[in-house]
Amino acid sequence: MHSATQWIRPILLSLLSAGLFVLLHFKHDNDIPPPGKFLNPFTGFWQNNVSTDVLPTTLELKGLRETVRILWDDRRVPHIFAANTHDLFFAQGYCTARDRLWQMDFQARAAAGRLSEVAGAPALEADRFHRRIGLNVAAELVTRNSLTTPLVRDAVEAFCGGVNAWVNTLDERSLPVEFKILDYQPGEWTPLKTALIFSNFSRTLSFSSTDAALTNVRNILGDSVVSLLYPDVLPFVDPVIPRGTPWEFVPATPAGVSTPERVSPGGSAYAPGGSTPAMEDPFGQRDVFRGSNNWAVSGTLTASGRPILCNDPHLGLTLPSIWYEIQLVSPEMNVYGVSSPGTPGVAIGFNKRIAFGVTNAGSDVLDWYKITFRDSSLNEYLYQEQWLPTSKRVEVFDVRGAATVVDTIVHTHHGPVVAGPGRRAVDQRIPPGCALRWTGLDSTSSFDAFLKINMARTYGEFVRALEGFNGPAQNFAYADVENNIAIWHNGKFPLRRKDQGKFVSDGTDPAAEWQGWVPRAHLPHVLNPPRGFVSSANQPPADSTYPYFLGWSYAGFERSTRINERLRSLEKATIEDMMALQKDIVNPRAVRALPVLLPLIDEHSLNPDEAKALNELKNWKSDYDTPLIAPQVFEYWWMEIHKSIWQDDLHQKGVPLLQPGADVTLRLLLSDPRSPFIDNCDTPEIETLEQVAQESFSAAVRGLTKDLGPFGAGWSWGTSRGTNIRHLAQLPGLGRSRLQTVGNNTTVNAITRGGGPSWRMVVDLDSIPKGWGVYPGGQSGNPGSAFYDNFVEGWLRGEYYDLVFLNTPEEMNRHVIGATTLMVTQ
Amino acid sequence: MKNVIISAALIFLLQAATPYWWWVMVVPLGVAFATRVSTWGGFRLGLISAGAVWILASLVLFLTQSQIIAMRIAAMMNLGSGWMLVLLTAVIAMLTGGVAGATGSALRSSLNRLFS
Repeated sequence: MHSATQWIRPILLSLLSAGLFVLLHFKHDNDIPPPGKFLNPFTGFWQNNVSTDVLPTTLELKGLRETVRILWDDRRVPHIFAANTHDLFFAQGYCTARDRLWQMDFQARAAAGRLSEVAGAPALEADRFHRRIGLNVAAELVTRNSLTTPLVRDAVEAFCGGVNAWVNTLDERSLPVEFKILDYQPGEWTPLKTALIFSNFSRTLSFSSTDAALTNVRNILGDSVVSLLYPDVLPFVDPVIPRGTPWEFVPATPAGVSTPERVSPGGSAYAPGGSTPAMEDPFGQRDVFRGSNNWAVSGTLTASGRPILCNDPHLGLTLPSIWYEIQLVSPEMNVYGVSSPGTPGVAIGFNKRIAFGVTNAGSDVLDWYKITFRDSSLNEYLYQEQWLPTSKRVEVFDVRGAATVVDTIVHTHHGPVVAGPGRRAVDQRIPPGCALRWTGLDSTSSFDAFLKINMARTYGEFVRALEGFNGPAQNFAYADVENNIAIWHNGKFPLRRKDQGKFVSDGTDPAAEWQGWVPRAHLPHVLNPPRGFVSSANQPPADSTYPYFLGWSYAGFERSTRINERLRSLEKATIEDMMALQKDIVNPRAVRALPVLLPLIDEHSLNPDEAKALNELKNWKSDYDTPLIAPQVFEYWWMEIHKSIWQDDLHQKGVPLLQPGADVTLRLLLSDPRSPFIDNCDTPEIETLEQVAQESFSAAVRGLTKDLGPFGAGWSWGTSRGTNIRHLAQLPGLGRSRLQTVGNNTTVNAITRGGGPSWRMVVDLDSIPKGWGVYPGGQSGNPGSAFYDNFVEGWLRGEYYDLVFLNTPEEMNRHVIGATTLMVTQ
Repeated sequence: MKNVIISAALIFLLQAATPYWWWVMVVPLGVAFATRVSTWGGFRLGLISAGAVWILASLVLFLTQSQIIAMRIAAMMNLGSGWMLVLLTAVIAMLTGGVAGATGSALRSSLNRLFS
């Protein structure tokens, strides 16, 4: 008896010790790192500190062929000098991984649909979506078929070698902190992961579709309404290629009938199986934020007589930043710019002879095909009056902390059926029972083009490089030291009939399929136009004389017309003028709408807050500056007007309907004030534009008061809007929130709540090029580094940094603060 | 006191040489077991030695190189400030070290009785 009781205490204490160990050693909740490991001062998060900012002087790396010299400037940008391209990209991989390894791993995982392996069940739906649209398969095909040219293969393999050289040095202590938080280890970096990064970029930039929601509109309201409210030629637009530019080619003709097919079966609606909150959003889907600007000005319009190229791609803003700044120097190239972490080369930048920048093309490279299955087994589908077998791909998800999930994806010759009949996908734009045809799933990439652009010395070399660019389609602006400027709406565009692919297509009909590709030489482009500048801001690429149908859902007129107006007014443009234009915060929609709307308000019927709000608008110059109240009043008012005009006409419960763009609304206000759409068809009275303006203004002020409190400083743009730069994995505390920012998505400086200029760059094509740039982040991906977000404040203030372009590793430059020599080791 | 110093020194050396956090449990357990202290004495030994090593290490890091990361992680964990993280780090070490030390003592005590 005595011997039994004496063991009670040690047994209980042992159990308590074991329990504590289990509690502290393992990850039990997706949001909480394992406390014991994480808080350990010797290897936990405490070690992810500023000591990582200390630059090594000499390193011996296996895989190098010759010695590489890296100079670091005071913004921690690496300037890599290598004796051959293999070592150049090896060193790029090493530097990028040193600063951004976790970001690279996370983005590759996201594209592969493997986030749930480390983040658990909350990531499962996103994973399922990425595998259902086939990003993982596309990356496998790219790896097998497209990373095969000697230039690309060598660059990618060398890049991977450099990444792995860094990965092999990591231990528990030096592991990036996000690996510690999520409690997993990085694997070997492979060409497949680089291809996944590319596929993820394609998804971000070109996985866009309004086909299903527009088909529903057509089924309910008919063709005439569709052509009126969703025109192929958008109002007020100044296209990328100047009007009147001759098309010097004989266009290829797509096979099949010459009129758009009527395909939606039986008028049925493309509605997801569950509720549809996202698609019931009353604000036009066409106005979803997207946007980037670029322009090149000929030396004939600049004070220096040299061309200037500018680019500011607008993307969702994250920390670590989407871009990594770098200079790459070898006997074949000397290029400076920003790279996408995980891929070799520079995406936007300049070399000794040329400068280049991109904006998203916005042309339609994605179609949905309605599939007629023989029965619920989904084993066969109808095509050309024959039943063809489907193929099925089984995807397995090893979800952390949960049971393994198996998903079977049905494939047709069109592509994968992303959401089965009657099923809903995470992305509400996806019509159930339809197959996806998207250029992003083709086994092509654009690495070859980017590497050749990095090396290009002339316009001819640049154009030849573009031939290898398959997507995501971009507007490439170009300038060179020979005073050439050019722009290409470039990518792989399906050859279609007019309006083909604007709606959900008939998957049984061969004539509804893509009829080949628009020949490269026929893509919209212009070299040295008489007006002396080229520009793009995601607007339509060409006017109505262009003989190919490339799409219709482009960005509205606002940023492009503002840029072109300002550029036309230039005579002796300076670098400062270009920077000012990138930071322009005037909304051309407000400029056009307010002179029409303000006189419609009966001031005698306003309450005190409404009168004050109106007064703000009257004294407003349509600029979106932080202290101003008027921008928020206009935004609310416009939202109410839009809702008032369209909600009654375009609302059917449970059916996603595309809302007209703001430019169509504006055209109605300016040119057709007696349009039947003005009337609210849900009421017996006939409403006039005056009534709509007055009532929507009152509703806007009520909304502002409800959301922001009584009229006052709380309504100011900076306070009431706020911009968040979230951490890539949305980990709280590792991003920046509620930043007071200027501009909105319709101003050239297109900052929104979560997006904005991800890189501002201005390049003077001098004999030795001079560049200025900034992005909202920092070079280091380590949240404990002093270089994690050190550019954010400058970006907010609209400042630019000198981009240090070096010619030799011996060059003396005041910005260079350190050097690392990479030595060969066996 | 001598046992506490021995335990702390061992924890420090083993933590510096290896990536394992659980030395804050294993070392006090072993030292308490070896030195035949009372259960309460073993708890104190572990609490003080493990807590001292972790609080000193985290404090030195916080005051020198780790302010930025501590500030961000504190925000991530809704702790308010980096000082709270130093405190939390110390509490984890003290709790686990203390319980492990007490376990070592109790085991030794029971074994002693078994063989006496």
